[in-house]
Amino acid sequence: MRSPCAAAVLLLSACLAGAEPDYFAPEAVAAFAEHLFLEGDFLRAGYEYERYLFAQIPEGDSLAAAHERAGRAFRCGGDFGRALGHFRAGFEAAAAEADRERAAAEIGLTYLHLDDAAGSLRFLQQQPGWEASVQLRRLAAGDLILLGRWEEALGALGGHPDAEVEQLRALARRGAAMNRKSPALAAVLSSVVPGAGKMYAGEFGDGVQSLLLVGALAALSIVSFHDEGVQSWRGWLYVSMGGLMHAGNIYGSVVSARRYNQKQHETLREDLRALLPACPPGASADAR
Amino acid sequence: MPARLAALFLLVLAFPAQPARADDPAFAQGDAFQRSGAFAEAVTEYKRFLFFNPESARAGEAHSRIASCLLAEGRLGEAVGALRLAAAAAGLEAERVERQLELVGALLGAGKDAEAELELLRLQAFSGDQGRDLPLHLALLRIYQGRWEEAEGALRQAFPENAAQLQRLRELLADARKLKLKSPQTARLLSAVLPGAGQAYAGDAPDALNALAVNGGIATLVVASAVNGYYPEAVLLLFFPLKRFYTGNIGNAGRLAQRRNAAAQEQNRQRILDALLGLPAWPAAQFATSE
Repeated sequence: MRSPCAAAVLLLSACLAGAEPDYFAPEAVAAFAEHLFLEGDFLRAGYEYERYLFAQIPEGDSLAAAHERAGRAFRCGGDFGRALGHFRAGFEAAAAEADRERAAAEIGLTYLHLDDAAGSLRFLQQQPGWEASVQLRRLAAGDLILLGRWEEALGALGGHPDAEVEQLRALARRGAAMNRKSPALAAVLSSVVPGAGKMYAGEFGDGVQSLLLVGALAALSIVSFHDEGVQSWRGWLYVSMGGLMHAGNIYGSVVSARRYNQKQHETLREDLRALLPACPPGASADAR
Repeated sequence: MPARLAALFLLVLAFPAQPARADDPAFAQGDAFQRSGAFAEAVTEYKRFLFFNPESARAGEAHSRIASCLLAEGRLGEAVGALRLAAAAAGLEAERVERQLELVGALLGAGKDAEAELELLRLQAFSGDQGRDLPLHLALLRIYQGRWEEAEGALRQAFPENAAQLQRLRELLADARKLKLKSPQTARLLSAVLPGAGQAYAGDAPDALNALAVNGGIATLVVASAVNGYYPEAVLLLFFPLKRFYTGNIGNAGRLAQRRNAAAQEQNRQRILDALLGLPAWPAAQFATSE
């Protein structure tokens, strides 16, 4: 972060001294991009970093770092596809091992935010010696949590005493202990007792309502058949209505169970994204 | 927010009173982008200018241009922020007042009429030479709020020398004041007593007949079932369809009254705005309209 700040100070001093600033000199573009990034105008910062990439990159900076900054800006701005392109270019351009590892982590994180946990995991596990890197293992564990492979996630995290790793471990344990509802069981329960499947899936009020409605229609049909015999048109009307509602209630129970599971998964995913954010708070795009 | 009134305010911002000098390369490029409709790119260039020239005398102008671009992109909330900065960076009193009036327009466009009112009242209290702009903005705000008497006062202040021209407007404002609004509470109460009565009170006869027929039909079935000894059916009909349609009818009557009031107010607003735009003294060059 030092370099663009220094450039910004120099450029601003030049402006204040009355000199005509060269807005499109690489240092000026980088300083402006950094300013936009810190201001939270991420996409605009990303495009300025791209402008910087078109220019001759000054000494002291590298192509890999410039791509990384552009990638971070786009990822913070929510354009994950464009961010991935920059991180991949940075990964290809990185010469030092540490730079490659950092670029790999950025790629893994971007895949994760693109909802491609399998792609992220595949990429991370392709990196030589990924198991030795805490950063890459953390991301792989995040992917495994999203894929519902809790034990493997815990294994990837190992016994590292880091606080963030501990939070991920807690999330994996929570996922493993998550109370999932079986749609099949919900259907069976609702077949036997109308509304029971909905109650099992956590929608108690709906379940009671279904029980009362189907029960009332069943009771009315019994009363009608009892009074008027098998020819009772009322009886047949109530049986038909009750049957339709019962079938709807069985299907609704399956939907409720799936919705319950989906909600649990969404909560877990949101918590994971909070632990591995696309744009960490107080982030700077500067990778140097 | 009535679209036309919003457009009226927003168009004030799209036509800055002073043309910008185009000597700075970033500023010039921003202007070129803005003229060609590339508003996002224009904002980048104005921001570049501000980054490198934070103390420039044109900083306020740059913020104002950013706001115009954001408004053109429909990003009202961000435009309001830019206009606040523009007002804060204005050097001259007249420029500050102009920027604050632009801010009022943007706030109204964003539906923040309470904040717009606060800005206007602050301007009214603290600015020296108020000219015609301030009372005119105030009049538009009051028309938007449906505060007709205050709108008339502000218009008289804006056009003190054109009292005869305001005659038609005064009549329309008087009509607006006389408008009897329907009470949603009364509508709900009437529909609770007799289904459909609230809808009839709100002036929607087909909806009233529909509510009366549906609720009356189900109520007849309930009574017939009970009289014939089908008590479980009577209870079922009472607690499922009748309860649903009866409560729905009450809520609907209240909503209908509110909608009717809003439509009548809007109609008045449109009539008054039409008359205002037709005034010979209307500053058309400043308040350009898209029509």
